[in-house]
Amino acid sequence: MKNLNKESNDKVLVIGSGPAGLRAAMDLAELGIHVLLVEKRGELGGAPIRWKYHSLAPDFTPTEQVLGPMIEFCEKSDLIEVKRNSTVAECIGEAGNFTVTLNTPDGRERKNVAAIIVATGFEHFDARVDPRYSYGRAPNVIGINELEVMLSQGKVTGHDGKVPRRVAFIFCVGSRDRSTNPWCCTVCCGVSIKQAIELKQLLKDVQIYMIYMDIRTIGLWEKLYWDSMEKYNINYIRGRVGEVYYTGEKLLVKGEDTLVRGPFEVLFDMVVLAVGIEPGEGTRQISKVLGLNVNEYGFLAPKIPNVHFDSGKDGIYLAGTCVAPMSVEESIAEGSAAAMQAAKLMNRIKVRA
Amino acid sequence: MMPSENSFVQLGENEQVEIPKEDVKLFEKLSTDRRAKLAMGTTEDYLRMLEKMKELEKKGEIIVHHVEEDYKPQVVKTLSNREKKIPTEELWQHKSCGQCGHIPGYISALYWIMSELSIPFVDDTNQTSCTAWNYYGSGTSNSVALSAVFLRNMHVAWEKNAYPLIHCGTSYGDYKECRFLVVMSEDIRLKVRSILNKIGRDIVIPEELVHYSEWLHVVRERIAERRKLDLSQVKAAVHPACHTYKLMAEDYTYDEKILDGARPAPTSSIILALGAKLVDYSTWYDCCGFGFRHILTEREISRSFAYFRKIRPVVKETGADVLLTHDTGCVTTLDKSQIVALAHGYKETVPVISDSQFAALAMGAHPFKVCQLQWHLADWKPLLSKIGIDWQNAEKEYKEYIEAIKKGMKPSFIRSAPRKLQPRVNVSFAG
Amino acid sequence: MESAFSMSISKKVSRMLQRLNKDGWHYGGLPGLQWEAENARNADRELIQEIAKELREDVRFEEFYHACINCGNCTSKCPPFRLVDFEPRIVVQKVMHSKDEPELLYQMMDQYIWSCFQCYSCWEVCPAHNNPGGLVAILKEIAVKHGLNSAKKALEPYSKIVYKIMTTGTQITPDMHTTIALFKDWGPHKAELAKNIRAERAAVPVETMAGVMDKSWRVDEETMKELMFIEKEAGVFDAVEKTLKDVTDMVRDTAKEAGVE
Repeated sequence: MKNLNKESNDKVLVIGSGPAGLRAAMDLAELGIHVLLVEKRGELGGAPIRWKYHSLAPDFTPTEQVLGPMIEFCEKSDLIEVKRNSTVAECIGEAGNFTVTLNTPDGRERKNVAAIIVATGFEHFDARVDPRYSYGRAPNVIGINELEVMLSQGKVTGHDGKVPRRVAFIFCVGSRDRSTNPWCCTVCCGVSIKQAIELKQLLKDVQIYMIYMDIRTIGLWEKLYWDSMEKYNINYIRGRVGEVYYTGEKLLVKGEDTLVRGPFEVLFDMVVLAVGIEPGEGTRQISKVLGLNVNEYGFLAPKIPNVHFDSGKDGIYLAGTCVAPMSVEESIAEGSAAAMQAAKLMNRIKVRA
Repeated sequence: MMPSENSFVQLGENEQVEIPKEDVKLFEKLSTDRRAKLAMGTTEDYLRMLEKMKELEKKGEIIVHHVEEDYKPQVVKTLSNREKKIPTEELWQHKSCGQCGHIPGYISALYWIMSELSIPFVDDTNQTSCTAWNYYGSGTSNSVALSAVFLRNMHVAWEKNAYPLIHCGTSYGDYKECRFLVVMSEDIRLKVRSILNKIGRDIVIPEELVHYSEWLHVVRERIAERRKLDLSQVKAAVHPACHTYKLMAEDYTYDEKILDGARPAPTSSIILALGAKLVDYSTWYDCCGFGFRHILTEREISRSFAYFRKIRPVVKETGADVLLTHDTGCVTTLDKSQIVALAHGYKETVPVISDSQFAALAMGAHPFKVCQLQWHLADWKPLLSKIGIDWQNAEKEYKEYIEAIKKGMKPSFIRSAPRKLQPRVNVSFAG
Repeated sequence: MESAFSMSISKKVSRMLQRLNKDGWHYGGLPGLQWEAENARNADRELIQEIAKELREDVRFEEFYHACINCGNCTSKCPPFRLVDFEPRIVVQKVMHSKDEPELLYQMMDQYIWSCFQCYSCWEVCPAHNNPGGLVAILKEIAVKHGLNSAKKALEPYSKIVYKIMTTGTQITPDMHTTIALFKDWGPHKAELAKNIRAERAAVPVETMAGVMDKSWRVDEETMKELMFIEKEAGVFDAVEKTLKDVTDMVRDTAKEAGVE
């Protein structure tokens, strides 16, 4: 049983327990600051835990190695009060003295906090919205999130239970498209290639085609791209897919090979859609509750786009993919940055008091 | 203590979360709300144009021909979940130059259905075609001329107090473009206005642009009630016309219950309503190959495309008994392109008719006197046999009918039900 | 070693060949797009600049042209791409580069753009909301207006239909089916239909169409007058004149007879 000081005003509310939120909570606790960690789902860890990410790019680091210690710390620390299956319903007050109302499984609870860190994360694009990929209508069309779960379980099959012999990865689904989401999701290229490599390691004979517009393996992730071709014989075709049609047995993928300048119509057993990062319902809801600005894409808008933690509202700090698409390592860094701002605020309050 | 204003929402397969009721709406609206933002082609611009049209009307700069209650409208949804009003009565038949020339069954079947449903309509001789052939086919027109022709026709419909129903997919597409230009570009609007004023007309823009296949879609239950033949064994494939749903994708009818709203609803919906089997094939989204000029002067391209990308996949993948479409060019291309291929020894063939002809046949219309199938070249005999029409007898009847016509008999003309609305008179313009 | 005599003959021959090449039909010469580029290089610079300006000043250009990320979605859906070397993606790319190299547009207007079916499958799927088919339509109009050879070659074969639309507003009419000649590849059945066409047409149960052979439906005189008036006022006659002079003369005569001033 934890020994929590429920009446302390010197608390920081961290909303969301993904990599950013966990890191922020950890840093604050290690500084001796009390933390109220609110998570709308039943388990901590955010997207990597929810979607059971098998490993993280670029070096295939097992997810537990990165997330595990953070989750364990937050669950065990006496300074961190964890509220699962809870959301923030109301918030009034100002920096140093916010009163928030939580909806928890035990009912509504009022809490006083001095600062708030928003780390509400993202959702994967729901490809049912874009009918051209037949997602949700044809079998064996899955998203990269669903593939991660299968890779964790060590077993990849289609909806029909069969092991695929030929797989296509389609990049930029729900990204870089004015018809759905115009922005780039930053990490899907690297993640898809990582998954392709893992898939090749799992199913030795599988033929994999990456159908792309650009390969954006950022920074040190670039080696995934070269390794995939040199070590794993993964194929690349440049051209956006116009249609995925289910023939009754296989999936017909149609597009233009823009480099060879010819049409392609190829049958695949399985199609993996790189469904991108988009702002989730949690982010939308929090922006209304806290009165935060949202940019034209639906992400939380910091005061200046290049300084993510500054929400423009005193005492409220932003971190992670609720602000812009980014990788796990960047989210962790942002969590620390936001924690630092909250810690500075706590310091100022203590000095005044 | 469980507060009563919360509820459970399903997040994924195995997880729920409890959140306040007002947040539940956020979750549930996901699919329809997101699709409302799915902006293919020029959806957002199109919606902006509709707003501007309302503004111009308020300022008195243009008149908008509203789909009033007198037209007995029914509401459908479009791609962006916008509500669109489809008039069902007192229609001004905007004819297609291509159909009327050489596949008259298209239009006579439609008129016959309207007459059976006692729908009053106006079949005007004061109508030009949209002349969009000169746009898409030859480039021998310009934005001002096309918009002026569009508004001229719309003005006549408005004067007659009948709502324009557009028969041809290309007219529909062209008019979407012209309406967009007239509303958004003041320059075009002024030029068109000055031309129209000189012929005693002014700018009247229809509130909705309606294609006849959308009309068939909204009255399909009434048609199904009058179905006389058993179509349950018929496999029907659909070819949608490019210009209805690709040219300014926002305006055409989509229905959540038809094909999950992933594809346009008209034509597919009438097949389902009539109890036939709707079949799908891999090249559904492909153009028919009409190409405008190509069907006249580069026919190898048109017929090769039509045959190998449409007809052959339809027959090989589905074994369909009929291929339905809702546009002149499409019927022409898909029907006529089969002959040369068959002469070359290919075996696949399927009759191609319009949804109006199909519906009329189902309601018991004469296949030759009304549906005019004799103008269609791909073999329709197996289809007629399958739905229980004795085509040999019908042919005999028709031959006798023609002999009588040759001797001077007049055909029994399809008449509109008596109109309830009066034409507008003494119309004046703010100028 | 070549004598002075044979040199001058070969010079003469090459000069004659150049004259033959003036309209761009370089038989047995350079393959593919190279002769298009050659024609563009030799064309009138002013004309090339004029064409590029007209494209960008067209009222529809802003709506039709945006950024192009070369994704190939448009081309994946394009019908002629399956049969010939035509890509809407290339059209947009060349429009983009024509800002600095306007001859790229001229080059495209030679043969390339006439393959387009104007189906607008490209417009529907473009993630940047470009309309390659629409850009092609504008370029076709410009080609016609300037009387380019490509426009003449594309339109002359169906001048009759252009005339019919500009005067009556209807196109393929029953009187074009009185013999099998025009549409003989539509099958032997056409001959049967051609024999009885007048009776067939008289038997159509729609009153505005029955018996009408020279138009798709019976059109009022006043309607045709209004149509030709609109075309005249909107500059359509002037636009078509350079490409289809005979047709335009006929249309002007018809318009004058109908009382269009």
